[in-house]
Amino acid sequence: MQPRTRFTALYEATVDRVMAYCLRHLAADHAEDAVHDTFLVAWRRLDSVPEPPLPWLLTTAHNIIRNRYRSQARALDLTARLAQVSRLAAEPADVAVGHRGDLLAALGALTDDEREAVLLIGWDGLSGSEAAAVLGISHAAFRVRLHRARRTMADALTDHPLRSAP
Amino acid sequence: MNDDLFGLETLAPSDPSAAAPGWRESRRRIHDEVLSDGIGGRRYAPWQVVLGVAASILLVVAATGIIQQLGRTPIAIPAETPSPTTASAPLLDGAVVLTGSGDVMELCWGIVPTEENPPSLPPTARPPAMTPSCRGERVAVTGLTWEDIAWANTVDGVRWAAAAVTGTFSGTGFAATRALAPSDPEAASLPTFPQLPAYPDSLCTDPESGKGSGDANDVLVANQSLTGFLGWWMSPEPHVLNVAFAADQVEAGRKVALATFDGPVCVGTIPGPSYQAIEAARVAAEKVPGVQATELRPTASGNHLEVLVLHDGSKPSLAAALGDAWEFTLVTPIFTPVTVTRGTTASPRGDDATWVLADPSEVSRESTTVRVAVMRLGCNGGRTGEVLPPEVSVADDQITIRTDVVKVPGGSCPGNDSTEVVVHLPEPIGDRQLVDAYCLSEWALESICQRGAVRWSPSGTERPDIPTVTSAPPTDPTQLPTKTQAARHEASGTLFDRAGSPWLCVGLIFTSNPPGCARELIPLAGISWDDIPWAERSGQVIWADAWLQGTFDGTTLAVDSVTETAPTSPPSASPRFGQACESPIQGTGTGTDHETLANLANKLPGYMGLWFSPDQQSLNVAVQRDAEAAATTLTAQFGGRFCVVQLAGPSAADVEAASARLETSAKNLGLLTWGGSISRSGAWMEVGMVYPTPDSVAKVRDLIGPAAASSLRVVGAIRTIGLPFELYTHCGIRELTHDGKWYAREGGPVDDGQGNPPPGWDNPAGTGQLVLDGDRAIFTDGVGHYEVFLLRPGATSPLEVCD
Repeated sequence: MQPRTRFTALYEATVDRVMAYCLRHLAADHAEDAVHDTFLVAWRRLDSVPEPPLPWLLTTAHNIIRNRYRSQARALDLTARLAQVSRLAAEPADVAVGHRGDLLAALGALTDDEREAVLLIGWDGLSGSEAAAVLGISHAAFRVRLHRARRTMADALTDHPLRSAP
Repeated sequence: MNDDLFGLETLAPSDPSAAAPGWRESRRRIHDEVLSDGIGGRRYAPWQVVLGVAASILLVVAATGIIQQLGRTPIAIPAETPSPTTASAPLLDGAVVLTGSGDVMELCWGIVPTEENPPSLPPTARPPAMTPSCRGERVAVTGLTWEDIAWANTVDGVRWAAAAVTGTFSGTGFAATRALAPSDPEAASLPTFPQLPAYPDSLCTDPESGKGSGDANDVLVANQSLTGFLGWWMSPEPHVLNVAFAADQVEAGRKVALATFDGPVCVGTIPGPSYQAIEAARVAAEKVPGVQATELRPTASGNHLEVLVLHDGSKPSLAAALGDAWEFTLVTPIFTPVTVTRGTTASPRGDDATWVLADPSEVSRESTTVRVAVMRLGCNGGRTGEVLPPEVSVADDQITIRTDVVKVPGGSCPGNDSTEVVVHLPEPIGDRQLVDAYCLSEWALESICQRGAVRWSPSGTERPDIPTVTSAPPTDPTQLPTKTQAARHEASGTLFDRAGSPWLCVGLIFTSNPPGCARELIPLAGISWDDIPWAERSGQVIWADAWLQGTFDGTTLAVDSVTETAPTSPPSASPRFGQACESPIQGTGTGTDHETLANLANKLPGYMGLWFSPDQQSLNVAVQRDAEAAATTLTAQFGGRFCVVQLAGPSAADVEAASARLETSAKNLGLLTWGGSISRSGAWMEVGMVYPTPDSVAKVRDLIGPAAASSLRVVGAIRTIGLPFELYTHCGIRELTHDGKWYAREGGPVDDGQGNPPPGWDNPAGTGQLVLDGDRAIFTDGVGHYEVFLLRPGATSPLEVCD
């Protein structure tokens, strides 16, 4: 396959998920720039993009946000980040509105690092070791972080027991 | 369903548009932009590997950097002409490749460590697969060791690294004061990287098929003796051989080219001198001191000679040597003079340093020389570096010695070492005191000079202990919070250890390892390092990223909550340096570099600034009005590819004037940074402050004048905690309502002139925070908007209805 065709296939398959990831850290216009930079790296290093590509792309995006957009990521305060997550979250028909709200509230009870750990698994579909690689921490440290996050979420969800659909 | 995560995965986003309204359009655009980044096929110059590794940094040449460059005077320092003393050599930034083995480190230009890689790959995709070797000139590097270059590659014992270096050329080599990895965020702010030449277009849209069996080189051999031959190049997409002849020789040339080449060929004519004339110019250019490499570069826009020079200073001698061919010469400098970032304190000559006597016992009334140990106060990776020639002023009762050190953009922040210099006094000390001029300056740090400026007196020696760098926070009354009720404040940033306690860095943070804080630190009360178990330590440096909440009294942040957050640095709104138009205009004038364009554009009415597109294929000029007229003017005068775009916001002159005024009041207002930002996303005046208040922001607005004030963005290091708030912006920034009360914007409503939000605001609403302060409501958001609204007593409805 021609490199351009391969790139386009990669882009179409993954760009929305990379964008969703960047939107967890950056305002929309900066997120677009970070996506641009991430795929520029992918294009220039097309031969080193592994299969599956998503963990590699998210690691790249993570590095780019850390290195190039850290001040912009910083400018997005906690309130705005949570608002972003809540806008991003799907609204599936089979999930009660109340449950969706409770889950998002539980996410808000987490620290940034814990939330990131949970979303890499729950939203981005990465394995524990892949998520640890994205965050640049050991798998063991990741498991501890995830464990803490689950416990906090469980507490938050117990405080606000699941509501039934209206 | 994964019970472990309580069903969270059912909410996994399927469409980012929910949080990024323009995503559908952007998605296609980003795809196309990335793919247009470059497919190979063009011939490549020997230095393209150097340029290639630099390209990742090249992406963000700040527009403010370009504006600053306009005022720069080129300084001539070809490598062959060593400066007589290192002290007078200008400090330079450059994008280079370092090579060496063992302890040896050299700057290397002209290398092709990967020459066997197929040239069809874009330069940036060529990995250093084979053993790198410096094939061109090498210059010894001092001041750095390979330990400083943590990102270096080692292949077969040979070390190799791309780096952004700062330093001076001395008689013996390059004296570096620091080196940054290309990926270092700081390297991005250095306006140093040579412009990548554009990928050339094809000469025709409908190539013919060559009937020969040769490659492009055979075409060159067959053609170069023909009169009227101008040159050839491969265009990238589609992959076509282009051969150019003088207009009256195209037919003759076509026959030769088609008979020789075995692929698609375009034959046509381009402006410019003949192949022989350009080749003669190339040979002449090679002899000019300071020229590092040359390449013939015919393109559809003309027949050019490209010359890589060490420095802009070679341009006059190059122009003289080339004569008429100068008009067709593109010059790319490796080094540019360091421009000092405004925003922190600036001393007239160099960076601040303090001194103590190296050995007080050797100083007497009869001394005419004194040995002093000089310590840099700013951050420079622990190195004081080069001391500028000390200034000595003699008065009746004291002798004042000022020991500035060479300016550097900054570095990590362990306590700097000291450098000994001998100061010659014009006469014996006699009955006078020796005084450190730094401690007499307005900017003197209290902690350094708390025991006075006197370093020696006839009656006994004064020698203060030199502590690590600290800075007294601003104590101007305008810094005080205006709220009387219990306002709470927050700050997120990096804490650094000073004398065993954590301080909050509000100045620039250097993201080296260990990180460092440049100057401004705010003292914290109520916490110790015991509260921050995630703090990191490297050598003497202790630091931690933290999110702090508490109360700020104008001097000290009394912290009652500290948590770990993502690593941070001072916030600023980000420019977006995309190409400003779909198809850049090809100028018909002369000169293709950005300085030529900036000089021309600067004369346009309402000129705002220019920036490079990330792909380096075009320059983008922003004007306040008459974009079409501007484009016509520039097309006739400029020879390169460019876009002209009309933006709302302050002109370049407005920003310059505003910056100059802010500079004089920076300290009183607690300003950390200021300057203009121009890019596809708009033009702003950006001001970073320790703690913005309605009063201090109003003072800034008054100071900078209406043009800059209308696009002001304010970023505070310490902020009052407000309520999450959505400001309705659909018809402009007019009024807001909260808790049953109505407030109107102080200074009257603002919009874009058509009843829409001003540029830079989300529509229909902006997300941010609201702080209530008596009869004022202050809206702030993450990009730096700071809007004050005044209570309308008794109001129960909006002033105007916006639909």
